[in-house]
Amino acid sequence: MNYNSAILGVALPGTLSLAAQTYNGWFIGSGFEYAFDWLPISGLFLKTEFRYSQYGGNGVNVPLTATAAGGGVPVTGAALNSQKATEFISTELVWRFNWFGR
Amino acid sequence: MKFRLVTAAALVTLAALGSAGAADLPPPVYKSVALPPPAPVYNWTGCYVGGGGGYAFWQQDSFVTVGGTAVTASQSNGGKGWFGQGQVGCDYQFTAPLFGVQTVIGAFGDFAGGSITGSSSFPGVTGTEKESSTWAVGGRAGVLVTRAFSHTSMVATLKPASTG
Repeated sequence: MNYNSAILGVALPGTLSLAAQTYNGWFIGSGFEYAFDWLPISGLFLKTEFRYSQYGGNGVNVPLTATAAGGGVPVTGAALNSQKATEFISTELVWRFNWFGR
Repeated sequence: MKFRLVTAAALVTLAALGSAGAADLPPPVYKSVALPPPAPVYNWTGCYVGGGGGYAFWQQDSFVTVGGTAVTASQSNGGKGWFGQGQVGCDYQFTAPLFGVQTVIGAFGDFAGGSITGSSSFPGVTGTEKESSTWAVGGRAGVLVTRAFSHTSMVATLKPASTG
């Protein structure tokens, strides 16, 4: 994350930045999967899924750091609080290789 | 097949009751006809690898704090973009005891990487943010709609995502 301009009403030279951050969360989803049962080889599937995810239930505080040119200004004690949600739609080709001899 | 033979025998018996005078007719000969075997249930049991991709959106509500106290209003931002993903998992297919429904349960883990990019801005501040990777482990359960088609619902246990 990179921020430009001013924050907290205080003009900051250069760029504010946030380090890359990892958020933990949960997801729920639904989908369809299709087996290519008419192919001469077995085990090929195609599936499409939708997932909804939520991260940082009460918000994750990411420390803000000023990395301005010429030394920069430390932004002591400042953080960005963030709650995130994502929606993923994906399509995948699947190969089931373990047939347990059946 | 047995049922059909029994039925045929019963019918013959009824007919014989009505034609008692024709005792010198040769008994009819029945041959068992080989029926085609029922279509095998396609096997969904096994471990798998998968690869693909898709499109994603993210939203966030965020605000700036100093010393733990909010100093800006909460602001909603969003992003979108493409991603690719790989997955491993295992499934087990069985017949549900109550309704005889072909059921598939499984567990999986996957990793997605991409550039799901959007704004992360506040009044007086403009910023960009990118979700670069995400991984998840979860379980799923579904039913076979046809022998080759299943509907699945997933519940996750953990899904960290990285942004930068």
